Amino acid sequence: MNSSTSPGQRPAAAAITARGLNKAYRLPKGGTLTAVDHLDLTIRAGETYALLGPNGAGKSTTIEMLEGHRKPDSGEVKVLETRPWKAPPSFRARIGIVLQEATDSGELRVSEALRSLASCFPAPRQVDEVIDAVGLGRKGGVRISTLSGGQRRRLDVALGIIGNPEVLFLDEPTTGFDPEARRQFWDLIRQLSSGGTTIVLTTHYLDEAEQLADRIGVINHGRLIAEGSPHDIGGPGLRVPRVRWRDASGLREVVTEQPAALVNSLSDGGATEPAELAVVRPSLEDIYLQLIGAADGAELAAERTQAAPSTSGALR
Amino acid sequence: MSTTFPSSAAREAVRPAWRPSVVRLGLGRIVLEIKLFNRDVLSLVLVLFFPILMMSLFGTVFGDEPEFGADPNGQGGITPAHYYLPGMLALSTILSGFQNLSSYVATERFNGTVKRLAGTPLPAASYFIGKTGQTLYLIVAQTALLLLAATVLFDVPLPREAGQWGLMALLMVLATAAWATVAIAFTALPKSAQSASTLAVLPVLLLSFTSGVYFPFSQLPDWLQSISNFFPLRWTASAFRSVFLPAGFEAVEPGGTYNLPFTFLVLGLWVAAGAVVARLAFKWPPQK
Repeated sequence: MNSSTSPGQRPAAAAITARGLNKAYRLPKGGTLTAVDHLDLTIRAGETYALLGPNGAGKSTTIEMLEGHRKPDSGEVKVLETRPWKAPPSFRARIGIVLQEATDSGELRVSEALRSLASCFPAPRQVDEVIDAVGLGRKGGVRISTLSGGQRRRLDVALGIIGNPEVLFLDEPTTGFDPEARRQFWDLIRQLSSGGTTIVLTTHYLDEAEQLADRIGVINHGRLIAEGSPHDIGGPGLRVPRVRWRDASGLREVVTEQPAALVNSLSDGGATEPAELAVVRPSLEDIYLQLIGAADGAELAAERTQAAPSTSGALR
Repeated sequence: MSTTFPSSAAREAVRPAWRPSVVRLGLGRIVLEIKLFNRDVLSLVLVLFFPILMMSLFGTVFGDEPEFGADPNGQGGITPAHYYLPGMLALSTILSGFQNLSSYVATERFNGTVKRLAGTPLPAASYFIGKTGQTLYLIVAQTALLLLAATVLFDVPLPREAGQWGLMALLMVLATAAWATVAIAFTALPKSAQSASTLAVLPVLLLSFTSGVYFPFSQLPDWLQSISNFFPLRWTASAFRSVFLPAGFEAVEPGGTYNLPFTFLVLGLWVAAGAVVARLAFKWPPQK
C-alpha cells in the first residue's frame, strides 16, 4: 500500500460527476424534447444530495443517466469513477437503485424477492436484517401483492440496499407515505448515510430535502439553476426576512433587512401591538418557489410567493 | 426501523474484475421462475392444462369410436383423442414457447422487473437462462401430463420405439425454441402490459386453426395452406403425427408425406432468425 495515500487523509472524493450532460427525447409527433440541458453536477462521497424540481424538469432522466439506465446524448458522467452506461457488473454491485414505481414480483414472498436479489451481489446485507431495518419485520413470509402501498415502497427501499451499495439512488422514495412512515424512512436514510453511503434522491417534498440533504440541487428545464445546503441555497438575497401585520388597509408585508427596527417603529417601541404581527424568514419552499419562478419569469414568481405562504411542506 | 446496519461498516471494495456467475445466478432464476409460474393460476389453466382440456373436449364430443381416418369398411380408424394428441403436443409448443413466454417477458418489461434486475449485477444471460428453464419445465410437464392423460383416460397407444421418443423430444425442444426466440422479439412490440397479454394470444389463436391442429391440414384452402407453411406450427403438428399416427395416415398430408427433413429446416431457420431479431429487439437495460 502506498503510504502517501492513506484513505483517512484524502479529501472527500467526488462519488459522482457530470459535465455537460445532455439528453433529448424524440416526440411521437416529430420534434424533440430537451430533458437535460448541459447539466453539471458534483456529488461528494458520503454526501446526501437531493435533486428538486417541478414535474418534467429532468430529475428522473438525470438520475437514470447516473444509474446507467439511460444513455446520455452527450457529456461525461462518472459514478464511482465509472461510466454508468453499459458498465461492468462490478459497478452494478456498488450501487443500489430504488425505482420510482414498481409493481413487480407480486407472487413472491418478501424474503424470497430479497434473497433472490441478494444472490446477485458479491457481499450483500443479511436479508432478515434488511427486512427489520425497513420496518417490514413481520412481513418476511408475506406475498408482495398483499402489501400496502407504504409497505411496498419500503420493500423497494429494501431491494435497493440489499447489495450494501456505496451509492444509493432513490427516485421519489416517499411518494404516498403517511407522515409517520416518512419519518421512519428518514431515520433509515440517516442511518445509511451515517454508515458512509452516498445518497442521491429526487423528491417533491421540501421538508424531506431539508431534513435529509447535505446539499440540494434545483433543476428546471433540464438545467441546474441553484445548488447549496438547505440553509444557504439561493443565496442571502432570497432569505431577507419579511414582517407581516394587519392594519386598517389590510394585510401588509414588508421585506426588510432590519425586521427588529421595523417592528420597533410599528409598535411605537412596544407601546402598541400590531394585529397579526409576524416576522417570517423565507422557508425552503419560499426560496424554492422563487428560484423556479425566477427561471419561469419574475411575474409568475411574485404570484406564486403570494399563493404559497411560509409553511414548508409538499409542493402543490 | 430502529436497527442499524453493522455490515455497512464492514464494506469491502468490489474488485473491478469481479464477475457474477452466469450459470449459478441462472439456476437461481430457474427455481424462482418455476415457483412464480406455479403460483400463477391463470397460466396454469390457460397454458399448462389447456392442451389436455382441449384433447378431453374432443375425446368427449366426438366419442371414443375408432372412426377417424377409417376406410369405407370402417377398418383402420383411430379414436378422436388419438387423432388429436399430436396436434395438442404441437399446440403446447406455441403455448409454452410463445404465449406464456412473451406475455411474461412483456409484463416484466412494464412492471419494473427487467429494469430492477438490469440495475443489479445480474447478467442478462442469467435472466434468459431462468426463462429457458421455466419454459423447459413447462413443456416437460405439459408433455408428460398430456401423454399420461391420453393413455390413461383415452387408451391412446404410445410409441414403442426409442427413436420415436427421441424424435418427439427433439421436435418438442426445437419447436419451443423457435417460438421462444420469436416471443422475445415480439415483446418489443406492445406499448402496455395489457396489450402485451392480449397480443400474445392472437398468433396462437389464428395459427392453431390454420395449421392442422384442430382440422386436418389438407382440408384448408390452398392459399391458407401456403400461408401456414411459413410458420413452424403446421410442420410441428405434421411431424408429431408421424410419431403417433399409424402407417398410412401420411396419405392425407400435402404431397402424401410428413416431410420431416423440411420440418427441421423450417424449425432451424426460425430458431436462427428469431434469435437474431430477439438479440436486436430486447434491450438490457430497457429503453423507453
